[in-house]
Amino acid sequence: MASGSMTPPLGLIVRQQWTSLLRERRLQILGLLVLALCALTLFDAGRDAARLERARLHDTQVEQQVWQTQGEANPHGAAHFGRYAYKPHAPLAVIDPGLQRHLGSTVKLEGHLQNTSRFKATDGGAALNRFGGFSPAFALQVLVPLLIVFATFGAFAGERARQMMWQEIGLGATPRQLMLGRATAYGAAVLLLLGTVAVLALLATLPAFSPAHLAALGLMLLGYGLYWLAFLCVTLAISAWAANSRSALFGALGFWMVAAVLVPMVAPALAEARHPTPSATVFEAGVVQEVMKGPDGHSPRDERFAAFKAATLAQYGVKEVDDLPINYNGLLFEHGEKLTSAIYNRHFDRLYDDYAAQVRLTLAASAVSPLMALRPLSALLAQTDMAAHRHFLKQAEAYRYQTVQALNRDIKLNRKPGHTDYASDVSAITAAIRFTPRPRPFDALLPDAWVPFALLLAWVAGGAVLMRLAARRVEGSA
Amino acid sequence: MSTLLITIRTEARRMLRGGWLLPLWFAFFVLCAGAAWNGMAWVEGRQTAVASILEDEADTHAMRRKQLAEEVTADNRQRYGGALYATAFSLRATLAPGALAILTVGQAEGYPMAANISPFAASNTIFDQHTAGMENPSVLAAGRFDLAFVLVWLLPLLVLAGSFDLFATERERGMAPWLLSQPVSPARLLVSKALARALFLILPLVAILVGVLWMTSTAGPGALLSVAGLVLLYGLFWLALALLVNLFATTAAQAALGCLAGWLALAVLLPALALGVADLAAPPSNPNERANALRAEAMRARAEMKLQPTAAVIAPGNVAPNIPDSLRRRAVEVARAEILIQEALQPYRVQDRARQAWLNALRTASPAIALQDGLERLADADAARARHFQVEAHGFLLQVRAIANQYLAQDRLLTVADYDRGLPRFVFRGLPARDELFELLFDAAVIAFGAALLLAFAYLRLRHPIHLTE
Repeated sequence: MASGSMTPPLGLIVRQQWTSLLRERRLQILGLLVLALCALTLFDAGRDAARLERARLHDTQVEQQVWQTQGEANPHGAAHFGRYAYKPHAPLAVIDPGLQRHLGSTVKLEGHLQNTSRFKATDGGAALNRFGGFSPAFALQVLVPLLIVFATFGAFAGERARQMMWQEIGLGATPRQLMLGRATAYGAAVLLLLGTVAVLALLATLPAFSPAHLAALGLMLLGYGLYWLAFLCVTLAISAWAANSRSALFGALGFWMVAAVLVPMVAPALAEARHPTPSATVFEAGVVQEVMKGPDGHSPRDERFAAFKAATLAQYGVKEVDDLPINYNGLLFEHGEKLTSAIYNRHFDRLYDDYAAQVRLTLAASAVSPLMALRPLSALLAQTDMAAHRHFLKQAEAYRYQTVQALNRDIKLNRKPGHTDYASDVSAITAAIRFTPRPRPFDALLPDAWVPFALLLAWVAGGAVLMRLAARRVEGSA
Repeated sequence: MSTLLITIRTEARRMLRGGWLLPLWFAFFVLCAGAAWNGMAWVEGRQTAVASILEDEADTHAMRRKQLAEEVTADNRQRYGGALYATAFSLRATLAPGALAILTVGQAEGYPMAANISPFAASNTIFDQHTAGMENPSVLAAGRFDLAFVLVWLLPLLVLAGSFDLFATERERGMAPWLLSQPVSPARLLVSKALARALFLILPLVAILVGVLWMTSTAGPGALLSVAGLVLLYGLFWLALALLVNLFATTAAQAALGCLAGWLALAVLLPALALGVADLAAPPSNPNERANALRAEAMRARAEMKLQPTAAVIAPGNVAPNIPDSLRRRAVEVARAEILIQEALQPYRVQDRARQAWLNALRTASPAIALQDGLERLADADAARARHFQVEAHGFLLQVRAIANQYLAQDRLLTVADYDRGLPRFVFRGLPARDELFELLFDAAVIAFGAALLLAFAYLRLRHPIHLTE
């Protein structure tokens, strides 16, 4: 038979593998099941996001009304009464809720204090909450790799696969072509799945349509594509290496179990043990101690305030605070707020440095699991990670500081000595200060994205090397 | 020797000679030890936090006592209101971790662990300072690696890994017809094989767990036995699943796939689905809406107070009272606000109770949820206890308020003797033991029912043993 009349082995292998994939009913059912779960969770998450956004707009309006209800009130009392800031919903959180459920979407803003966000979705749960809800990200990060494992564990190791392989070898296929052919066919199936997910994701996030949104979604899907490819490469290599389909299944399942279940759970715990986070009580005690004793621990507040009083009197050239042209208490509130804000900012910086150290350590676990690279990348692009939350908190803090200082300024400028029940229209004082939180701009996300991307690419490259090595084994066993 | 014993002995020999039993025991021991170590670190952190809260309370009292003893005079009394007025009581209610807290973090991070009790504090704000933790959300999102995680998620995998080929290997190798032709019924053969797994696989795992708990916790034998009982039942449930799968699978790979699919469905998908059902049927109340409603009520109480004539709140028959009348006005405002707060909270409480009822009922959806629930109850980290703490802390606030009001009515100042006698203290009583036992037995019943259901299916399948030789 003339060699020119034969179909080139690689094309033949790809076509044969593709056809057998399409004819595999169990895989079709599993694939459809995963896609249906994705679609269902996307729909549910989209509906939930719309409901939460409506509630946020309503709560913002009511909060404003409550603030206005105060009317004439003591501005310092109003600073303690405080305001609430609500975090807007990130559109891509529909796909990956990231840390959202554990962060809290509301911050109480009040004088002297910088509160952490409250009202987490996980508050007030029961044992069932320990299992976590189902999200599209869970389907894409955990279930799709499992689907890949089921689809590919028998690519080389199964009895039918071996029969087919012998026929392909008989047609002149090299081990490299055998591997490449299977990788291409299964890779095409992965691409098809990715395309379907992309369409579903686009539909689910349609209201947020913008170039930045599309770019973030595109990058996110690219990340998922690389992650699935990495899984595909590793499981194909395991299949080629395994002596039989049973070993291949156990090897691939073991990899899935470690990479998608165990490491993502154990790595953050180890990171926390290495860089412990202070409890809220200890954190608050640290702040209070610095407020009372000064940054150096040896400057009692009374002494610092006495020095401030002396400096103020000297500045205005008077001997008593009652002779000042401004209200001294208001000035002291203003000064105190500036000091406590700086102290809080310093302590929060330290806290977030600890978090960042934990994140770095967790990212290092991507040496064992590609999910440890994908997860931060996905949450970064969805703006459901810690960085996005802190971006919101910083804007809320700026708003809090402006509001509280405006109230303090009013006391400073308008309250007369001896005026014990001073009241002012607090709503009017703060009317010009608005809270309009904005998400991180897309280009600000990119510097944080390249390391996880590089890690995912490294996984794909490593998987390709494993496949190449495993191909030699195929040659031996054939 | 009966066929049952012979089969058990043969299976035991196979398991030991297979070379996987000892590594499996060891793996479980390592997992338990790691989780217990994690649990101990968490408990230590929680105990430190609670101690620090109580220390803060003690420091405040010591400072105020010192002020009364050494600094307060008739002329400067106004400056020491915090030490002199009962309305300025600064007390704490805390929820300490239980004796078996290393078992699971449970719901402890989703509920406040302490309350700041002060007579004039609005009752809806007493937990504010102790609600938000500083834990890294990434750790919380990943889930705590505690003993409950090992038991609920990993123990089934170990049990299934050791029993997925209970009979499938014999079928795959063509030994099934020969085995079934022996003078032993298929049901007896399979039950014997399963019993061997229970004795040499599950029982040792339970013993390892109890050993680890005995070494790392202060729990008594009763609590340890309860944990052992629940976990044993749970292990048997998964063994029953493996048995059922083996009645259908014709190859070991099929059996492994079936077991894994069962694990995925019962330990991952079904609970997630159940949570989705709870969210749809009984969504949680909107905390932001509640906060706004309560703030509006606070404004209402204040506005009403402005209209209140001063004569209604002044100290009776006392021209120059020890306690300023402004505090009496405030006490009236606080009492009114309390009524408004309770009224405003009512619809949210109804909604939250409905949700809790759903979440509680949905533990019947999977033995995995029931075990998690049982472990949380045994660890004193369950939602019911946390909610009960809130009720008791609120009761303590009302009690402290009543005491402060007595001082106001008598125009009485606090004295050094009052501080020496000791200020009111919060003592957590907890839920009645009978209620806790009922809930625990309910969890055990859910797991036992699940196992019984699987065995019933297996029995039905075994009525036609011809399947086993196909």
